Order: sequence, then C-alpha cells, then structure tokens
Amino acid sequence: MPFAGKLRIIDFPLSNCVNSGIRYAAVLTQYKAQSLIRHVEHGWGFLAADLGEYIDVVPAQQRVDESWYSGTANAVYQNLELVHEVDPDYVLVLAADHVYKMDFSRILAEHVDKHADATVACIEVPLSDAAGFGVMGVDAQGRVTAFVEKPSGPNLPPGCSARDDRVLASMGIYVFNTAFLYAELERDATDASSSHDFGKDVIPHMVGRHGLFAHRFADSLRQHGWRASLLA
Amino acid sequence: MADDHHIPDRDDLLRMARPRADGAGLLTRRTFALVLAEGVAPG
Repeated sequence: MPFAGKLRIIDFPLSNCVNSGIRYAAVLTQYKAQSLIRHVEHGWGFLAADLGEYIDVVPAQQRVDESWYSGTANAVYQNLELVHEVDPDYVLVLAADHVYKMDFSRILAEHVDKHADATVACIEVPLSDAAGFGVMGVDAQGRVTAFVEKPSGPNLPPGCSARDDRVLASMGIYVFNTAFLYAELERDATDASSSHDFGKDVIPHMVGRHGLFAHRFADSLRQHGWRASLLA
Repeated sequence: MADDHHIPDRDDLLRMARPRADGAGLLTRRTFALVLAEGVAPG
C-alpha cells in the first residue's frame, strides 16, 4: 500500500522495529508481492548484514505442505524454520498495514515484567468502531479475560465492556515467548475447527488457559482502511 | 545489572529494552519480528 508518494505503509512497522532496537525481521508475503519485495530490498538494505542484522522478505514457499497460507497464524507456522534459525527469546508479530509510531521495547518490558506467555497491544476505540477490531476484556492486572475478533451484532460479546462509549481493541501486535509460540502453533495446526488466524483462533484460545496480557498503547494508530480520514 | 543475584525490577527491564551502543543483553536484541504483509491472511 503506497503512502505519501514514495513510501509504503510497511515502512511504519519496519521503522518502529529498527528504532526500537530490533535488528532481525522477516516480512512474510503471499500474493502480488513483487513491488513490495523491491521496495523493502531497496529501502531497508542498510542494516549491517555482517553483524547479522537484516530485514528479509520471504515469499510463501509451501514449506509445510502444498497449501498457501490459510491465515495469519498459519503463515507464521509455515515459517517457524526462520524463527529456529534466529533462536530468539521473543517473537513479535506485526501487521504491515498499520500507520503508527511505537517503541516496541515498552511492550517487551511489560511482557517480561508480567511473566506473560503472550501480550497483545491494544488501544481504546469508539464503541461504534468495535466491529472492525478484536475486542477485549481485561482484569485489574491487565490479564486478558475475553477476546472476540470483529464482533458482529449490536451488543458487545460477554466479558467485553465499554467505558465512556469506548472499548479496548487489539492492534494486531503480539509478543510471544518463543517456546510458547511453537507449542501454540503446533496445537492450532492440528485443530480442524481452526481457521489458523491469530485474532480469530490462537489468541481467543489462550484466554483462561495461558498467561495472555494486554499492553495499552497510548499513541495514534490507523489501519489503512481508514486512509481517507488519515489524509483528510 | 550489577550482579547475577539482582532480581530485575520494572526499571531494569525498561533499561534492558532500550537499544544501547554495546548491544548486549537487550530485550529487543533478543526479539525476532515477523511482519505479515497484506495478502497473507485471506479475507
């Protein structure tokens, strides 16, 4: 998605990574990605490869079987070999289509501080926008007690409450302990009822079973679907 | 951190999370980012 002439929206999450001190990243692509591949390779090739720093673009390779990515979690599952190669303590999962500025060190610090298995970044959005997000309920410690992706209908899902006509919404930014991510994606891959999506399947399944926490983000975020208001 | 017996508190964790010139012991340096481009998720 182009942005302001020569930029693309993916520059926002990549800039956030580099400015947060994250030096290893992979961009997973699937369809019609040639211009994106060219943009990332030309624009983000300045990292010190001799020091092991890189941003790689990884097209879908059907490593696991002959199917394409069936969901966001399946995309990561099919690329766990990349994670194995780096052997990190934490895996940060980001969407490429968000416009925001975020210091990822803060969500990482909170993730470790709370001994979380996984942490979801969230913001408050107007109740009228709830249907476009993963809507969450949290307790006083920040533990996620409810999570429903893009709820339909006029009423909020059980466990999700509004305050001053605002609800807590997922930003689609997740931190996982690496070993936990492996285990959850292996479990999800064998679940025939799953659509293998983080927001629809993996994150909701964790509620009440694992240490899933919310990290409140207090700055601005726009998904590209809102670009008309962004450019107004 | 000063020694191995020190239990990190929140301030320690935030310090560890920020990039430093020596690049050692940072949470962000122990993190791998996966960015999901448009088209990765159907629908």
